[in-house]
Amino acid sequence: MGRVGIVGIGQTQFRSKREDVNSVELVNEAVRAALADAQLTIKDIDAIIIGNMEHFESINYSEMWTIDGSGGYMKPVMKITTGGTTGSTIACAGFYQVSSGMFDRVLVIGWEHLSESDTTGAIASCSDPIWERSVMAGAVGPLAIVASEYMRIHGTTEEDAARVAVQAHKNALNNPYAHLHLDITVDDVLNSAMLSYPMKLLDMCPTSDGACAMVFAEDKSAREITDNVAWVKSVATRHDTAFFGDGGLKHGDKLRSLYLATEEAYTRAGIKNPFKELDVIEMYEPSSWSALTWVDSLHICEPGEAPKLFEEGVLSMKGELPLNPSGGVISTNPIGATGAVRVAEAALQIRGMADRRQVPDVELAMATGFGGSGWSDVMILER
Amino acid sequence: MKKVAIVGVGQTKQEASKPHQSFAEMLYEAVKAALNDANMWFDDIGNVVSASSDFWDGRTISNMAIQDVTGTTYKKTESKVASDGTYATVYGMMRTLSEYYDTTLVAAHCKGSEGNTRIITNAIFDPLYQRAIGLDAISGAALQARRYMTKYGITEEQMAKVSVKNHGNARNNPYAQLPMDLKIDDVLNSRMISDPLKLYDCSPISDGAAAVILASEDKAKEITDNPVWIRGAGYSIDAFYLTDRDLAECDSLRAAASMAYRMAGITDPGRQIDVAEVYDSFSYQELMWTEGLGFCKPGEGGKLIDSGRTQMDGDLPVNPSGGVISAHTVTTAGLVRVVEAALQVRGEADKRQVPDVNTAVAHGTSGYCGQGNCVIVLGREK
Amino acid sequence: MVGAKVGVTSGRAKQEFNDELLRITMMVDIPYNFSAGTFGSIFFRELKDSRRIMGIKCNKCGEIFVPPRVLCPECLVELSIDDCIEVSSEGTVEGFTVVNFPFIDPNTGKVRNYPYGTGNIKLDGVSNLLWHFLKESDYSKIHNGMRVRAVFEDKRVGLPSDIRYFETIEGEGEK
Repeated sequence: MGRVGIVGIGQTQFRSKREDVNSVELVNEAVRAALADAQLTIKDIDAIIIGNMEHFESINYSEMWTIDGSGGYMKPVMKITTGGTTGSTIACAGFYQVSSGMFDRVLVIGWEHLSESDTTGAIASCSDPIWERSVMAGAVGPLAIVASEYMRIHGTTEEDAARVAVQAHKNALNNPYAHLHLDITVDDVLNSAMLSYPMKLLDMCPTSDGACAMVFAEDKSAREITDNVAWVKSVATRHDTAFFGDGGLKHGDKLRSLYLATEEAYTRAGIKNPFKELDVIEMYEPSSWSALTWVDSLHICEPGEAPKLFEEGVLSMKGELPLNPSGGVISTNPIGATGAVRVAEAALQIRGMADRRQVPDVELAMATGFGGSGWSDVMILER
Repeated sequence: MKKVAIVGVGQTKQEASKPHQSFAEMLYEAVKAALNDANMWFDDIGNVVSASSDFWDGRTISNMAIQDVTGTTYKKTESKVASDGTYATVYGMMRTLSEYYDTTLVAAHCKGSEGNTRIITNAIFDPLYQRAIGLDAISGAALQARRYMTKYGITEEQMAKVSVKNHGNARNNPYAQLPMDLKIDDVLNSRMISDPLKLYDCSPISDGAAAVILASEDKAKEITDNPVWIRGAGYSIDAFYLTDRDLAECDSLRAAASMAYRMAGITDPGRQIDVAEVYDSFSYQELMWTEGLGFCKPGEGGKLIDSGRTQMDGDLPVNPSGGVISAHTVTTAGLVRVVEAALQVRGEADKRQVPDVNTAVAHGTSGYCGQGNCVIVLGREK
Repeated sequence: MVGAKVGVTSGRAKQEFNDELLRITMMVDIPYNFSAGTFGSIFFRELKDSRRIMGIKCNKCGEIFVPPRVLCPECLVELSIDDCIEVSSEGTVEGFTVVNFPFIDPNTGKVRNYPYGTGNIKLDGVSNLLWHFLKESDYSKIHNGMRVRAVFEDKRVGLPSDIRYFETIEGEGEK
């Protein structure tokens, strides 16, 4: 198995409503940007992987409809979707497909036009229709329930969570693609509307329209395309049991799948001390509260230490291990693209192309995805 | 390039409805059968690739329901291909070839009985320009059938022959939904559904599940003495709008087949392939797909069925299982083609066995009117 | 192939065409009828007929799960309907929230009534959590560790809503 690297990255502007484009055009915007970055044309692409959640736009077989935007005409096109993890899953799929030796250059595209439906209702429909749908309230409800357990276990306060949101939004100010550009304080978060106790409006991610595309290439092909490749060092995925109540979001202390997936990814990458060895993390944190539990699951601190890491600035842009220089999911969440944006942002950091949000001297970066009944994808990239 | 083998297969009977089983219970039946077939259990499986549809399942993230019954839980990775099971098989093959996993469980399920076929297949069409016309899977196919008949002089009798043959073959397949002893006149005189498609030109909509276990070269040899090798795989996609395509042609199937045949080293498919399982949602489609698979020249699908070559006693039997026209579980039907083709290669297809099968083809399709196609070549030898 | 012609940048397009941009609204009802399956049917039959909450006991690890299902989610051992047992209708709240925003309920297509309390309930003796409604919707009065009991509807139809909600057991404090 040869090396696989990311050689092209394209993101659209993320906004609450992209009424200027239909979904096909939205996809095309990201594809053009990724191809331009790699200085390739669609003819150079061997295969395409596309991810999006059908019920968010009410398009069945959306990979078919978007063919004119993706450039997939008469190419191998595969649609892979796994809920919130869709974007990171297609990145992993890009890695697997190139690793397999079947294709040299694979274009992956994650997209969502969330403004076209009721997102919370569509997410609520991910719960088991018979057992859990009547209580499910989009992503907010279950994440708030986890938050209440994290509070109980660690005595965490609403200020602790608010600080996370402030950091994310502050970082987003450096990211021209980010959906929300908010210069806010802890008090602003605390005084924002209570969505679902203890989750307040500014604790929670928005719903965004947008797309993200990347080109994955095998070793030789990648080096021919550019001398600035973000190489994939390892990937890992863990899912969880079918019902929310069984496991996935049962635990307030950690996200089980992220704990196990990062462990596997570190082992595969030969990373022994992730806190010291990783230079930057792009983590899929759907809310400030989730960020606390998720950080506790990365093996970079002791259980319950996440609030302290945020408070002491360890995870800030100037800290030892910057988290989400892009502003993360709290500032931008186009669901089918969100995980791909984490990988893309981590790859930009590796390639030194992150402009005002660049962390200096990034050699090793990690991106994560979150979705389903508490599932996690992890991808570790190196220079 | 190394090769991947199929080391276990399982399927449920496909039925009009399975009210006694939830999605998970139904899929477990197929997964258990595949595990038993391979003499394996969940601990032996490296990772899982599934195929299902959020629209058909009435659920965002349809694969959430199957985490336990595929043995995924928090111990493994599972990924869903939101398309036909043949694509999931190819992705499973690629994940196995990546050397990250030495075994992959591929699992597909769907219950056509629980959703509304017309609304769900109407949702395939463009929401801005086409949906309001009311097109769905059947009326879209009727447009294609008419164009195919017009361009190549395909007759309703030739289409009817496919229905007669496949429903007849289904009588040998205990897993098929509609075994029938039909005559050509029965098809021609059946109720008009959407001109020129009559009732017996159309597949039913079924409930069912299927599972396949893939293994790397080294692992396959440990698991079984009778591996079925994936010699080639290919997939491709045509333009979206019906008006952007010549519906009498299946260009994306030709591209998919050509990719698969190149990988498998097949240069003369009509002679080198012993049996084919194709995704015939409608009678005319089998004729088109045999063209796309290179069993005959474009436009000669009608002549091919007339020649008798694709009958059970011909030299290139197509759909010994009865095909999709005899049991159509969406997203699963392609994986059933893989299961059936693998059984043929193993010589274990019981009453529907074709003699001396060395090489078999499984075909899946996705979208409407064969917009997307996937071809898998299976063989006794690598 | 229209893709080549339409890759406009958002800013410009928005400025130039903003007044002309159209949205086409479609409301589509998609009906489904989901099978509860063999194990689910036992749960709903017992709930409807006898106000009993049924779980399943794994014959290998001994853990009890609600609702009953075909495989133990921990050891992946196949279970049978004979493994189904009645479990307690009292338990402890382990995670809660009070939903305080409107959204379209996918079950009905209508905006769901809010606010409402909901939480993960660990029924006594059961290993996993049951996610359900709480009677209390004042979050200053709900806390994790709170003891609750199921309140059944008088007229039951065989749905999760046959348990109207879980109400606080006064005086039992925390557990």
